[in-house]
Amino acid sequence: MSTSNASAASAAPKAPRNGGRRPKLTLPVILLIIAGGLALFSLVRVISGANDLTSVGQVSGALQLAVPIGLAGLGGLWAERAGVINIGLEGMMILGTWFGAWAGFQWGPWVGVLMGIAGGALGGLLHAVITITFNVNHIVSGVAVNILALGATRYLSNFTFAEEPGGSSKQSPRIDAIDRITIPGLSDWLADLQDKHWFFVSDLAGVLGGLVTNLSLLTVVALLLIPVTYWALWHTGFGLRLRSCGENPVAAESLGVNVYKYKYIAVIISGGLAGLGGAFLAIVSTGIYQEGQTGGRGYIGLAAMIFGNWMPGGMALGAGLFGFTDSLKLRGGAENVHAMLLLIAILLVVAAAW
Amino acid sequence: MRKFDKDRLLLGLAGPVLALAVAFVLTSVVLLASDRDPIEPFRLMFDAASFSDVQVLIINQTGTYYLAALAVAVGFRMNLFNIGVDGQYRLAAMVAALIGAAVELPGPLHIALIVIVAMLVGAFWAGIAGILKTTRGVSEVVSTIMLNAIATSLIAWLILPSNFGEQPPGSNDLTTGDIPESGWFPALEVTGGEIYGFTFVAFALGFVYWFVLNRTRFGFDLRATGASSTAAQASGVDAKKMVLTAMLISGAVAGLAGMPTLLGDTHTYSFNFPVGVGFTGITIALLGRNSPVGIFFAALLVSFLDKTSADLDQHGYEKEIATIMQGLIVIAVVVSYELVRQYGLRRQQRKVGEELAAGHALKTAKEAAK
Amino acid sequence: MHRGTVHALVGENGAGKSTLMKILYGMQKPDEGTITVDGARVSFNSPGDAIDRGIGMVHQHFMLADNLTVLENVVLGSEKLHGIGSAARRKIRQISQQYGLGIRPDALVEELGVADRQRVEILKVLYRGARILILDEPTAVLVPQEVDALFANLRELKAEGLTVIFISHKLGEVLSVADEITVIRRGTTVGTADPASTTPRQLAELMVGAELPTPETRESTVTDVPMLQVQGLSLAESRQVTVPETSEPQLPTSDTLEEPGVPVGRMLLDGISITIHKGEILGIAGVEGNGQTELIETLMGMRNPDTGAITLDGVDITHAHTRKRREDGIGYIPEDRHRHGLLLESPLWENRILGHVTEPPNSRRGLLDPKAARRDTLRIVREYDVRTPGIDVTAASLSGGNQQKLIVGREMSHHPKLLIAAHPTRGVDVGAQAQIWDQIREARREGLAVLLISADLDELIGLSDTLRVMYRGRLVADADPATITPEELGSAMTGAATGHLEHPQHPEDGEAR
Repeated sequence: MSTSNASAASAAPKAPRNGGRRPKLTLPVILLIIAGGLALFSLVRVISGANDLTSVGQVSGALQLAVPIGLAGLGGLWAERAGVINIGLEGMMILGTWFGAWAGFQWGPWVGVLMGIAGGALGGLLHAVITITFNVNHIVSGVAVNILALGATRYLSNFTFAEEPGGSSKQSPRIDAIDRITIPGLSDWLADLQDKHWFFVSDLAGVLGGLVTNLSLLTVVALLLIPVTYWALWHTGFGLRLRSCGENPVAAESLGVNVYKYKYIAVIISGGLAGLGGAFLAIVSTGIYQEGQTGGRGYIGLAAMIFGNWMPGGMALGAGLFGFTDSLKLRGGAENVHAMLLLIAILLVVAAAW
Repeated sequence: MRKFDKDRLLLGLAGPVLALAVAFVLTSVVLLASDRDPIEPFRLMFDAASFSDVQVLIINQTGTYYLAALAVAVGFRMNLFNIGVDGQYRLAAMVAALIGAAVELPGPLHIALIVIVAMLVGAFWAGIAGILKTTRGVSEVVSTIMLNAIATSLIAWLILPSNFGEQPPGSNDLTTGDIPESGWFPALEVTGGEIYGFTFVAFALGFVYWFVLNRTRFGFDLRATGASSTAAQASGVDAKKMVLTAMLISGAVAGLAGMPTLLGDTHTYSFNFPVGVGFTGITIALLGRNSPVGIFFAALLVSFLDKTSADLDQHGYEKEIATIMQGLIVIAVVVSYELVRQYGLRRQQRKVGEELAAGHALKTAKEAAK
Repeated sequence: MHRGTVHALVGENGAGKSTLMKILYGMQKPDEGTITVDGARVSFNSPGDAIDRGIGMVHQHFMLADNLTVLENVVLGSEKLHGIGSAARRKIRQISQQYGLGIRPDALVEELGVADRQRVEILKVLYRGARILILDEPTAVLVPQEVDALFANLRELKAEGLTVIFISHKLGEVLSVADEITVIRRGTTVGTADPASTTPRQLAELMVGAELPTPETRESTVTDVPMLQVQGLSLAESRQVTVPETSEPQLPTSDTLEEPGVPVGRMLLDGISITIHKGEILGIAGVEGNGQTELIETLMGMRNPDTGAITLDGVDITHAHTRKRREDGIGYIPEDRHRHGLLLESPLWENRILGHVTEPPNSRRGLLDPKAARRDTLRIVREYDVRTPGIDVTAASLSGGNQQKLIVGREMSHHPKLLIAAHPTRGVDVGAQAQIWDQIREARREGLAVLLISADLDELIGLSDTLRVMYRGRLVADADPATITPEELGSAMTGAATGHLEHPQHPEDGEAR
């Protein structure tokens, strides 16, 4: 195929243009950005009167929706940092939902989580074999993985879920829930504060409230994976070698790094993370597997990662934003949609000015 | 010389044949592993294809897939990945349906208006990605994926009854309203049903695609850019303009992909309008190696899998096996094409050496003088 | 070679310097011969072995990852030595201070200028405990101030007892920094020199060898009709160069470069003015990387000059598109035919169309004419002696010489007014070489103007009617090919001689700078 080689090379120099002319994202800067964003939301809420915009329920829902996107984005980050573009995240996520649900309803949610990871990793392995060993274009391979994952899970459902009570060829029986935690006093107090609809303060309370109310343990695990990724990639020798494969494989090779090995590891981990995102969707978000459940979240995760400039923190912010818009859509209400449009308009003006 | 042509043809065929064989075998293995007869489903599918109504379904589906794959192939020919064909196709179909339903014009004009609107919308949506790439260096893969998601939201918003959509009484679905009959594309009546008239337009477009790419200067520039962007630039191609033009054309063709269904069948855009056509188009373009004839057969194959597998359920087989097969075909195809390509290059280099050593070179002036 | 010395290895392009160094660094295996380090005979299978023996190499093309910090680039692959954290940072600071390298461990490599990157490469090698440093053409990418700073670093290293092997073909630099010099030519050592008692000219003679090209006896076809006129063409590199004061002792508290340095974007082309007349071949000599590539790309319209004007046959084409220039009659034999001259995976007849898609016989009224193109390809194959079994084979399957003949044939077939020929016979076998020369000469007789750029001095002297020497983006010298010797040309190429070489009565003195 003539399209395959040259474009792989041209696609490879991706754009993690961190540093350089742009200001560094230090902690104070990030906090400022978050505060600024929150103030913006607050303003929009006050103008549009859509008080649900930053309610505890809204934020909590947004978090729930952001986690799968974030996990997919994290998966994309691992692969891209090693120089492999992973469009197959969507497929790996689908594998995650299926395997997670399949193991989950039989042996409990935590086994489901592990199997979801394994399923995604399997997809990652396939992507790795096609791209790294056979040197096929990354995007082509990713598309293929997506199609295959879709077909395989649909096919397998017929033999598994369809034969179970409460299941069908399109959805699994119910999976036991993972424990949720709520910090008793704090959560209520924040909810009260949020109900006052004060400018900024209530919004802050709403956001914090959403972060401590009805939190699934798997959400906690997912949130922890963000700093863990950062630590593993930027503060260990392993991470350094892995990133060097993405930045300049020739230089890495000249210094004795086994580029093949690290790329394989990265893509398999990438698949595992996407699989975990899928498992989260099936086990935590809905409690069952449904066909088409991922709904393009793998792609959105990739976008969140790019939004976040190939960094875990930025990626998390991006995933949060996407989760939030999803949540607005889900909770419906014309008010919310109008508020959202206003917000987008403001952001566009800001982006144009910048 | 003839010999090389034959070799090339053989090698060209080796890729898909090898891939299809491997995909069939792997599918049989999957069937065996799931305790099913490994051959029976294929037989059932071929049986189904002998019914004329299924044949019509296959042909109609082929037309849609053909257009989507052409849209993808235009990009592929110059190493552009337009992953956004799906979004361009849906948005174009939706807006074209809206406009088509809103006006009343004499037949051909009405159809022409709908088609042109679809092309413009598709081109516009793809053009955004093109401009982002040429001015900001944003990868078209990422931007088109995002544009897909935005198209989904935009359609959902536009189709709200409070905006431009309608809700037919007694239905949950939202539509864009029906296009008056003057905007319906005449169909071909055959035994088994109607072949959408636009399907023939689609196949005609295949010829246009071939002609533009292989017989015009523009097509040569486009292919040269795909083969080597540096050499193309040195030869006088304006790379940025090329990227934008290719994206616009790709989007316009993607906009056409919705037309067979819209003008021939539904006459309205609703949430039941087929989705994922653009992604199938990627599969087909890969399988057909971006050649108009190859894409035709690939589209036919995928349509065949789609339509004949529908009845497998009734015979105790799972119709999803067709999707698995599609996935296996794609993987087998991309791997085998890559292997065959590398093998072919090496082989030709060796052969040229051998031929020259054996004195089979074309006569040169020097030799003629001897 | 002795401990604590700077040993220079000089020779022309392709003399075997780089090969020798690759063997020393374990990247290639020798067919025969031995290497002895510190009295022990060694053999290297990989760069790792060489590193273990204390040999480190600074590649001509830096092996650095732009998006990683200096620290990360340095410790990569040697994480076990000092980890990747503060211990490694301390070690880097210490080495940096010890040798006056002035490196900030936490800067992104992307933000560094070329000279800084080179110091990072040196530090990378020192971090691994190298006692012998090989520097491959380290000054090729530096401006003079940066070269001085580098030499200061090298003296520092020498003072600490390290051995430096310095590969170069810039003789002036070699003489100023080396303690010993070895000259190699065509793969063998031809002599050693003591820098204290050698002049650049003597060195150049050693380097180029005694054999002279057979000067072509030829009639001049130069007319006084100017075909190409270039006026004051300049092009600045879009990067900032930092010139650190590394020769100064570092402040005890600061090992960082607080001052970002003076921004002096290197001039790739600096006030180039040339005139080529009908029937004239103008040859430009110069060590690669001195602006020849940029000059060609600017003339072809692939780069936009910052200042200056280009006139072809009386028409201003300074801002014309590449395609327009080609249509107006510029033929182009590119330096890198694989990147710029051919579609490797396309058949020969499509390659014949490349670059001339708008001209007959390739197209008529906007449409391609494959039949005519194929016919003409067959003609080119015949007339230019392209050895191929057919015109449907891919360009990649031809040998380099035949690929080049195809390109020459293609460009000549459109009867250009001006031919830009960059290394027209590079990688071409001897037979094809003579043929290509003949074709260029013949076209010249019919009034073609040629801009010839070549690293092959015999070719330059043999073909050109006028010679210019390019050095650091400027035309520094001119010469008459009828009387010049390769030695003289060679020393001018290294910047050792400027102005008019040898015969001052040449009529076009004013234009060379």
